[in-house]
Amino acid sequence: MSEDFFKSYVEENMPLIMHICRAYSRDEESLKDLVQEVTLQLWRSHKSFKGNSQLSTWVYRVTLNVCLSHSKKMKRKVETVPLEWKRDSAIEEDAEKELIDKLYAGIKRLKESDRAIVLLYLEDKSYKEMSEILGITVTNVGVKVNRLKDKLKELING
Amino acid sequence: MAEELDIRSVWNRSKAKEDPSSLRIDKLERKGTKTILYWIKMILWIEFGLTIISMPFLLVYVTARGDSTAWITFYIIVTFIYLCYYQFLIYQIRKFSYDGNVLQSLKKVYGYLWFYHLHYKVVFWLSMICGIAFAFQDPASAEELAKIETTKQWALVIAVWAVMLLVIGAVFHTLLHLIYGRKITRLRQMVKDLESGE
Repeated sequence: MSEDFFKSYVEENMPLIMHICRAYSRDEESLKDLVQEVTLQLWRSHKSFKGNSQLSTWVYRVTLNVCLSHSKKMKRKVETVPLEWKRDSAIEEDAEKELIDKLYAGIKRLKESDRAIVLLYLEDKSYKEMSEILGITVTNVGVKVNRLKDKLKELING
Repeated sequence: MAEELDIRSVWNRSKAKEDPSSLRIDKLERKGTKTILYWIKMILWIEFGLTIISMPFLLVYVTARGDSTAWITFYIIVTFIYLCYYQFLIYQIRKFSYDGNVLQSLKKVYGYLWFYHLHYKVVFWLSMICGIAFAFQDPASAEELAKIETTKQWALVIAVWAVMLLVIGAVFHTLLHLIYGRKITRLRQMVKDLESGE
């Protein structure tokens, strides 16, 4: 993978990386640290990327691995790291923000490993791809996704 | 089903609102890593450096103490093996990559932390034992010990040493637990959670 391609690919996927890291961050500072670490580890491993898996699978693997291995334990009270809103429609923003905050709060109340599964589910990954990223069987992915979908809904609806 | 789609669409809409402009890749690449594995590697390099620096002093000390050539050769060989071992540990961390699957990577990081945790415990207790053996071998200490006559005095000396060792050991183990213990427990739990149902 060439350096230019790597940079443009990672830049293109930065919103995704930030979004996943946000689910493992306590505050804006820890979010920046995690994103930095993910980018650094992507940079370090991009030369050894041999194309055995899809590029997106590789990005998800590195991102989740860094998040799970290095995120700090959260405080009991779930805090959401607010998105820096691109201000377009002020009236709709509040309701949308509330919905997103609820979703994040629900995600953050899950166990760290469960969070990884839910994030991949939300990213619309197939069970096969989730299995490749997580390293567990497709059947197990299915069981866990079904259980976690219900749990997340419960958490969101309070 | 409609609710599932909603969650996904909320997720996608919120993703579109992420503004990564504050994070520039060129700048990020130049920043150093702060991972626990990086810190372990740094500590290993410091220990490696300290061993190299202390080696000539140790040699001067054992030569001045009048140790035999065989013993001095033994010290050199042991130190050399120790240095090779450190290089091996550093190499293991350096070659670690985060691009494996999540379960595999978590197991690896857990394995490293568990091993270094154990490594420090072994190094600590070995250093303690060697330090005491060295101290007892020292002619000055031997002279002092020769002055002890009664069993009661011996018991007191042993008790003082044992209490000292236990206190230092407890402080060391607590510190080690604070640095690595909680992280190891969390990683073990994550592995267990992912593997459940396999």
